[in-house]
Amino acid sequence: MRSLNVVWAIFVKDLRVEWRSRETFLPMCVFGIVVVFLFNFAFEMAREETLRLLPGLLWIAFAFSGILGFTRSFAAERENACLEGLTLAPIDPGAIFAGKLLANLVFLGVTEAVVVFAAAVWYNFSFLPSLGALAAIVFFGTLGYAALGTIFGAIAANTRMREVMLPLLQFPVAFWVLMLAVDATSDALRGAPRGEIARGVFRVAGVSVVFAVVSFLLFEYALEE
Amino acid sequence: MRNAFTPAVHLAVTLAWLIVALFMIFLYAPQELTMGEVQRIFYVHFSCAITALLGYCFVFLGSMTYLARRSRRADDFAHAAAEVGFVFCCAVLVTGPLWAKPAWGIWWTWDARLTSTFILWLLYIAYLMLRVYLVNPGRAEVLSAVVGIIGFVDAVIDYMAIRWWRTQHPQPVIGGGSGSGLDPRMWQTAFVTLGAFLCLYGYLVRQRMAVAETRRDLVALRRDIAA
Amino acid sequence: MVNTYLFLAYSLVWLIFVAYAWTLSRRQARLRRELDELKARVGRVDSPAKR
Repeated sequence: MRSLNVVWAIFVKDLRVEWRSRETFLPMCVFGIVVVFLFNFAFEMAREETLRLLPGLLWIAFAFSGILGFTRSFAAERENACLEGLTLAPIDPGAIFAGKLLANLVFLGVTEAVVVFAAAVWYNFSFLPSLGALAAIVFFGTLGYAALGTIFGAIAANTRMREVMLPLLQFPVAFWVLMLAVDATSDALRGAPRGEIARGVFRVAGVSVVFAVVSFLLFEYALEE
Repeated sequence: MRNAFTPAVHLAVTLAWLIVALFMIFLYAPQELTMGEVQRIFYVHFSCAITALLGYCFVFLGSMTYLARRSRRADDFAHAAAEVGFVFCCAVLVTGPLWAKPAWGIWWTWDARLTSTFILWLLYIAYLMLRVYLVNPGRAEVLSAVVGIIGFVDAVIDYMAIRWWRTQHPQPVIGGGSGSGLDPRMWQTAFVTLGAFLCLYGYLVRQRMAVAETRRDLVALRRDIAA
Repeated sequence: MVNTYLFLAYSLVWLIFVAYAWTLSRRQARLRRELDELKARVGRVDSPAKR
């Protein structure tokens, strides 16, 4: 199972690099918190409106923090020609994709937890009743979003304006992952019947898995020299 | 001549077809009862929309072919299909509001078709911008092909998802072509116009591919000289 | 009032396509010119060497 070793190796490497430099993860968290904070000020929400606006707010915070993370993920590789090294090594590009995706998932996942915590405190909103459903929705939504971010990050790293190019590629394509996730989150938070929530989760999962598989299959072309 | 359908002939056919279409639009098709003259925008709007949609399918086909066979012509085709398709998509977004405002009183709404068209427009922009901003031209073809494929997958998901979404969040549905009880003359006009615009699309793609080929010849010659 | 929209729509569409076709033709002409110039220059450079 050499491929799995590779996946793990790259995953651990990204985590370790991040632990030493803390260039990506902290800005992501801070940015997520800032977005929640800005929303709090921009829309001084009454309790009833909170339910309506919270799902959108959460996913916007996730989406923008994610972009920050994806950009950095490949920028660091390029700075030290690591990407060329990775490509030249006789390893499966799919394994590189999986390793990087896992790292992105961890960073974004922790950021999301921080954002949810901040939102819970500032909006006096308890996520506990819907925590299970919320976790499932956030997991699948992040999976699809991060898969796209990983491959588009690799592609954008080749361009002159990578900070601009990544969002330009990411948002039109990830739009539906985000929209379906917002809808499902909305159902979960307002306590919709379990059947509806489950359907929402399946929709997000379905779209995310499609994008994850397509990104996985095409990643070798993104790395080609 | 291997191929008698030269660009000049193609252009002549396109222009003739467009003139016939215009004739049918303004002098053959009957006036719509509720909307009046403005409804005639529909023929152009509808034709450009179908063409823009097909355009991205061509981008997808070109991209897949390129990745499979590394054929330069396939890449030229994908790029040309994207650029011309984008122009058609702009035409859709221009004619749509101009028809919607007098007909339904609003410039825009986020209904199924409009949202999907807008996302398609963004997908075209993403593909074209990538081409512009790529630093290493050697990798342009492969990377664009990847974006073209993912973009197409997204467009398909988009068209499916938006239908589901709109049953959840009902909005005013605008846009024609869903007419039961459309006068047959209108259908005929619509098809003729669609054909004319598809012909125009083919012509413009051809010309765009010629530009790409000339550019490649130029780059190759420069490289030879430098060597 | 209604006719204004009709006129605008058709004019803009016509403008968009004509403008695009025109830029294509100009791009092609410019590239051809560069190509021919370059070929001519190469031809001139080659001839002395062949002597």
